[in-house]
Amino acid sequence: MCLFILVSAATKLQAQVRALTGQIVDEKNLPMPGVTVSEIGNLRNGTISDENGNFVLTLKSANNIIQFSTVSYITLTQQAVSGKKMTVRMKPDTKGLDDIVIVGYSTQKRITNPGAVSSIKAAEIENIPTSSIQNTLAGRLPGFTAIQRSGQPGSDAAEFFIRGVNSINNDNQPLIIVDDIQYTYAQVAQLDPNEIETITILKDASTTAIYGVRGANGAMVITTKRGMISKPSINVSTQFGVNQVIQYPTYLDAYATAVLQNEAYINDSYKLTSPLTLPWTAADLKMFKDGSDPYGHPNVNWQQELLKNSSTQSNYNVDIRGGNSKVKYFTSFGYFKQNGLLRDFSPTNPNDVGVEPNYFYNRINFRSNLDITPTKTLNIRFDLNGRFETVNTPNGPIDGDGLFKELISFRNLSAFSMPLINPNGTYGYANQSWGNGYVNPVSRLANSGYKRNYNNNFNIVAGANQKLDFLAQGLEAKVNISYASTINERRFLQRGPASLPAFYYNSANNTYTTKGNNQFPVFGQNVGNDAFNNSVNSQFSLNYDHNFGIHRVYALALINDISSVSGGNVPLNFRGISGRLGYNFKQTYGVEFDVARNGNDLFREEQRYGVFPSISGFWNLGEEKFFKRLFPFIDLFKFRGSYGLTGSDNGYPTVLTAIAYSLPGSGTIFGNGATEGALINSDVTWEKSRKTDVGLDINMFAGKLTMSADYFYEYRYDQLIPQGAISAIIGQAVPRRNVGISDNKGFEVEFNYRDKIGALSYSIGGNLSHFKNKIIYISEAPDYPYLAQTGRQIGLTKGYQFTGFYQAADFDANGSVKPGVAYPLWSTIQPGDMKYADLNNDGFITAADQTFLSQPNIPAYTYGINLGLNYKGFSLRALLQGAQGYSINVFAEGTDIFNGVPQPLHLQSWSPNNPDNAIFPRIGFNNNINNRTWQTISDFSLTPGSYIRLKSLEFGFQVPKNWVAKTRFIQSCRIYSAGYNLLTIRDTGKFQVDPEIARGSNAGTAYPITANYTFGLQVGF
Amino acid sequence: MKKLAINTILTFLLISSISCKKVLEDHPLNITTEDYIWDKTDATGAYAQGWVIKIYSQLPTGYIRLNSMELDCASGDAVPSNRANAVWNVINGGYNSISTFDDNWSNSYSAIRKANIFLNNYKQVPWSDPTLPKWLAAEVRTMRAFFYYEMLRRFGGIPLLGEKVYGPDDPELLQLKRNSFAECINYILSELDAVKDQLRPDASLASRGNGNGVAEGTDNDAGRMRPSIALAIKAKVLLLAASPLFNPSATPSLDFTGYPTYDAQRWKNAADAMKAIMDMNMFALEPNRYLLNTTHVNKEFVFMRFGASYQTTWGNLISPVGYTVGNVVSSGIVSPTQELVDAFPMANGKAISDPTSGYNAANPYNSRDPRLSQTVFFNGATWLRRAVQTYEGGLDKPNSSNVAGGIQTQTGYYQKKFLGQDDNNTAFTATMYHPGVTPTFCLIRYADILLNYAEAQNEFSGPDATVYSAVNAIRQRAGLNPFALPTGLSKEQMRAVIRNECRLEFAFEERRFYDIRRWKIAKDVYGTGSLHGVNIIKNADGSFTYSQITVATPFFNASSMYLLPIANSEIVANPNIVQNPNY
Repeated sequence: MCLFILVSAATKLQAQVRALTGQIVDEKNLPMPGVTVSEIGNLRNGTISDENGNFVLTLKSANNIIQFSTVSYITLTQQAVSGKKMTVRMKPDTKGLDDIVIVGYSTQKRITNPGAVSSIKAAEIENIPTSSIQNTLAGRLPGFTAIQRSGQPGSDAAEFFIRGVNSINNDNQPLIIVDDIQYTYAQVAQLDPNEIETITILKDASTTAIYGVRGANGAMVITTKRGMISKPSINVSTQFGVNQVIQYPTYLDAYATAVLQNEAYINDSYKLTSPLTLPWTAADLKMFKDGSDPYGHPNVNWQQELLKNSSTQSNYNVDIRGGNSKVKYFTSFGYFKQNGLLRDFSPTNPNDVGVEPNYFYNRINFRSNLDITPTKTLNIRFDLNGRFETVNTPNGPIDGDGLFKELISFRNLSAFSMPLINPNGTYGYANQSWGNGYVNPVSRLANSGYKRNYNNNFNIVAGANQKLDFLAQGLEAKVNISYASTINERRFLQRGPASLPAFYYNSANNTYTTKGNNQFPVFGQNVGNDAFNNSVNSQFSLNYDHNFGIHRVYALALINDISSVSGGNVPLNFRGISGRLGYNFKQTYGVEFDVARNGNDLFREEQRYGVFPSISGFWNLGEEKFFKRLFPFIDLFKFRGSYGLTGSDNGYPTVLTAIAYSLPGSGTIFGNGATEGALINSDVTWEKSRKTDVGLDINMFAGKLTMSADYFYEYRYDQLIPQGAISAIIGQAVPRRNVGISDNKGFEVEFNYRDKIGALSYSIGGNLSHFKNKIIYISEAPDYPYLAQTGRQIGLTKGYQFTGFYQAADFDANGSVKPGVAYPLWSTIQPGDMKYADLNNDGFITAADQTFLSQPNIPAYTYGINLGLNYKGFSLRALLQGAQGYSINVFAEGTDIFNGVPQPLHLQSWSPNNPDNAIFPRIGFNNNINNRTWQTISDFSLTPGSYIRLKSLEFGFQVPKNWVAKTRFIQSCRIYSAGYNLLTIRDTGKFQVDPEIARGSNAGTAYPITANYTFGLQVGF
Repeated sequence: MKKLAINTILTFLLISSISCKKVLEDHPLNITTEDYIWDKTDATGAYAQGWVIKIYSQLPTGYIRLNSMELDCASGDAVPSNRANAVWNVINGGYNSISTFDDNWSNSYSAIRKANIFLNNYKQVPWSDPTLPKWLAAEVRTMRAFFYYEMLRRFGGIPLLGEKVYGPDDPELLQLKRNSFAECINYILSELDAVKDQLRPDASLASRGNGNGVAEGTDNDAGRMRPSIALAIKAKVLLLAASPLFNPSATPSLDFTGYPTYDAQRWKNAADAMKAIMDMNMFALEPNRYLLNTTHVNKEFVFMRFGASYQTTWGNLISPVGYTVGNVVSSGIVSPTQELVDAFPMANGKAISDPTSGYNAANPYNSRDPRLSQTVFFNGATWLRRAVQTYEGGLDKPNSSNVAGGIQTQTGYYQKKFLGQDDNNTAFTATMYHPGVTPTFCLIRYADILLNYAEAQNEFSGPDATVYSAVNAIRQRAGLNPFALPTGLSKEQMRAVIRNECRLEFAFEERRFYDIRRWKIAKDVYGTGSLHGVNIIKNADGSFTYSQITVATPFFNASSMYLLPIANSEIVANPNIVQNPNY
């Protein structure tokens, strides 16, 4: 309290009073609002120019020198002229040395920042037509990897990592902070780019150690737009576009499928005493080929019948921004809608009107950021924002993995499984012995209802920032309290897709057979809400930053407390303090210490808190006199380095302090008894990462060229992993221990060049990121050295080494494998089957012959090249983005014939006539385990992937001012056309999959990624 | 003044945000801790009794517990119908320390841990009934002995833990050594001797309940360890100790592989132990062998592992693929071999290889030991009111590649064992097998006692009258006519008879796999040559032509595979655990 009494006392001081007025303009003579005007020698006496650039200042000291400063402009000092309105013209700072860089809980200038940071202004990405901001960031931020796994509306957000992955424990998700609130990985996708000001990723210890136990995976810090001193400006933007599937897989038609099925039956008869009866006769094949019996021998391209090639999306935004020296505001409202690829099927039952089964996603975003400045030294902030999204999916697919799994699964749908519709207008079902017998998918999609999820988010941030210059020049205190909540609800309107009426039409005798039900069942509804989650985050901090001549000292002390509640569970509390102390000499040398001591009650009481220190520094060679003399065109040449410790408690369960026993069930002697639960490790602690980073920042040619390069090394230890080397004699499951160690190293380089040729201004930039991790210690007891994971990368697929196909020469006259040829024990082998390496040389292929294959699914190299052109009102922006150094694993339906629907790839199968150039094993119908890629995983189904995409392209036209001026109320108007994922050059080996989407069994069964084309209009009032 | 007010609010906010006091529990109180189990306030010890139940639930069962297949499919008596079943790996390539088979190591040590935890803690409960804790402790020790026996017959000597319960960081855990075979035998026997008088007394078999509280009888403690079960386990342990695999060991320098020298007295001990059970006059052979599949209230079952109540699903699993009962196509998952079929004599008791037996290769299933049709479905056998058709193209061997139906026989035979007598029914009788949950399974029945007695007594003193009487009792119940063995058999001849009777009587009861190891005959009967089936062509006149086909050539390495391998991961974790020879 005494602190605040001092405040009151201090402001009572009075001095000589001289009034001064003036206007500040920029290089184009336009008024500049928001410029800080202060008196040299008494910097506490200052004001800010209003929305017309005018200022009024009452001078208090004697030397009459005034300083003008604002972001991106060169700070100006000028002698006050008394009695006359001053006109001050400020010049932009093109060198970029004072560009503000966001670091944890505060900001730095590019020239003095010792840490590894990349950032982007949202203006560069806000028009890119995709629903999730992380999709737009791939290729733009060095060190940021984003991989889009699905194109489904509402679930198309890319997963992303900072500096790749480095946790054996799969604890790789970065910390995400949006305006001081911690967001989840999923919530980032819901943000409206129009609300965002900047996106920054923090990569090294100097910038993340301050987050302590949550900093090890890097941090993504997003700031939203705030009000500024200006007249109110209203912006309205609309965007309308089309999403087009980049590539649907190609499937074989009914005739080709039937021919292959006959071939399969012949192959499956190998060594049988009596060969199998072929499923299709020559007459059948003829009817498939000439289409003469469309009901008995149908040929349906289900993909084409069920799906459109494109869908639509639209986006609307309105925002109002402005303010004066007392109140500043930014409010925004956004609506986004993306439709799905299903065709519009009309329901059979006329009462079903209004039941929307198609995929869709819509989202409403609103935000109101308010800054109130009741006194010159106090700023109060009140932010309110919310997001409401609806995600809809059809209930019709029976397969648990959804519609796209059905389309690719032979047992669900084949070209001849049923006609599209029966002659009498009813729907059929797959009436073949080998199928799942599903009802016609058109009927299921049209009549089975939908699954709809509503996700609602609310956030409130209230805060105040008090300057405490009377205590010490440059000191301020800040308090922030935020509240965030999510409520997710669902409404499913469902009619059992298996129970719809369906009739098999026999074209031979013109009769119908019912599958069971003749009536439509009544819709059932499944309504419910998931847990209500909320969290309250309170922060109090003291920030200090002051220049003593050529010495700058800055410091931060912060208390942070997060209490989050999931449903009715016990709250989880996170608590800690963080501090920063830095010193710069002449902007040439700098050193900074950061430390956090924080933790949470996931862990045992005695070891809840960890200390996470870091040290960093820079040497700005560019400021040295000799260097300036030698290289006058170099503005900045800064070496920087950091070393420190951060932690991660991401995904940790609450540590048990006692073994959980189970109580007996009722009744039986041999039934459910009471027993001991898994043994516990109450010493569980967070993962830790020691991060080293060295970097170089260069600005040249008055800011035209900027470059950065970083090399990093991370040593991650105390990873909580299962104990692999333990004796089962203990008789109980043993707990995980903090013993895993891995490391990760890599580099990032980026450059940007911008210049003008006459009226044409252009920019070109590029970046390249690389990481490679390695497991240093994992608790394992490998049976053979090649089964060890130690020394390998994280996330490799385990499987067999595919070496080709068994050839006829491998078999004796009885059809048995010749001596000396290794063969698997799980299947009887015949020519054309897949052959694997016998790694332990025991003559058998067994589980012991597996090893770790190839590369992980996360690209080792990602890069981006961006271009910008501006000519008068025209602008063009393009981003090429690429990735390589990863592998794609396509198995099960994605590749196996008659598990999956036959693809052109299967026409190149092994057969006695094609023993040498085959790319696929011999065709089998009831295939043996050896050839089933989902049961016998091998590098047959693994292929190195790479791609380069024209990720985004935007062409815009700013309608000239004098045109819009005639309307009187329109201030500005811009029309543009933009695209996302426009062109793809890819290498996915023999598989028809998207290079990003492919992972595991998801490959080929995910909703396809789309290219989005859009047209937009932005009008300012 | 305005400033002051704002400052005051700020300060208040600041203080209130820091001084928030927690009002909710800060550690999970919803965990059932140890104190709840050994409840010092519950004089009935309900949860402690529940603890014993959990140990019971770890007693083994048979049926399809290994890769959804029966253990006997790896013994030469049958093969899995589905070529993709992992048991084919064992038939074709055996087992090794990397891919072990039926090792029961983790389950046994897990049960032993639970037993030791009980013995270390049960006295904390203020038992109101003093006999109950005594009984329970004795039951737990009996089961612990049985779990050691389970491992001993697979591996030889294993580490004996006493009453020790290890923590995850116990350094001793990774220093344990294998005890010698003799030490293990002695330990098990001493435990069984120590508890046999402390167990709950035997109750009458007729009152046996089904363990589910649904009484077929009134004894709902049926299935719990009783003196008779302890005696039966002891007798089995003694028989194992006397068996050729361990008496003596082939590798005497490794004391965990068996006794260094042969001692005939061990057969005597085994015979005496078997005799002791016979002399209890509690048990007898059930005249109707089908009763053994459909009820457990019978005179023959000595040691039952009780499970869920009766179901008809075994029929769906095991019946020939042409049978659809209740809309379920039967799976026919097991294909018995020609070797098993040929082991059944004619109904007159003579082997089919005997020229005087009356065997007719053109009508091979006629007038056979009645146990054949109780064990195996062969072509022409009656099942659910129709003849089984395993000829090529028949209903039960259609030779179609239809993935929706069952997978047809590899051998021309299907298993029938454990089914009821449904030849003239239209649906399956409920039997003891239960899918999804642990079914009821008989671990020791009186027929074991008789044949084991005969085996031990024949080895010790040759085929005396008691040996004949025991074997003839089995043959008589089987329905052979005449059932009596010819007199004057040599010891070797009698041994062969007893071994074959074991094979037939206990087919698919998980005996053959371990018997051929215990007798050290696996290489000869299983690891040399091939296993066969039958190819049957139906002729135009309705007659059948039978020809033999080869279905498998099992792999058996006699230098190692008589003992099972200890999993390599155990040896890597603790190098003091010495692997069995030649793995």
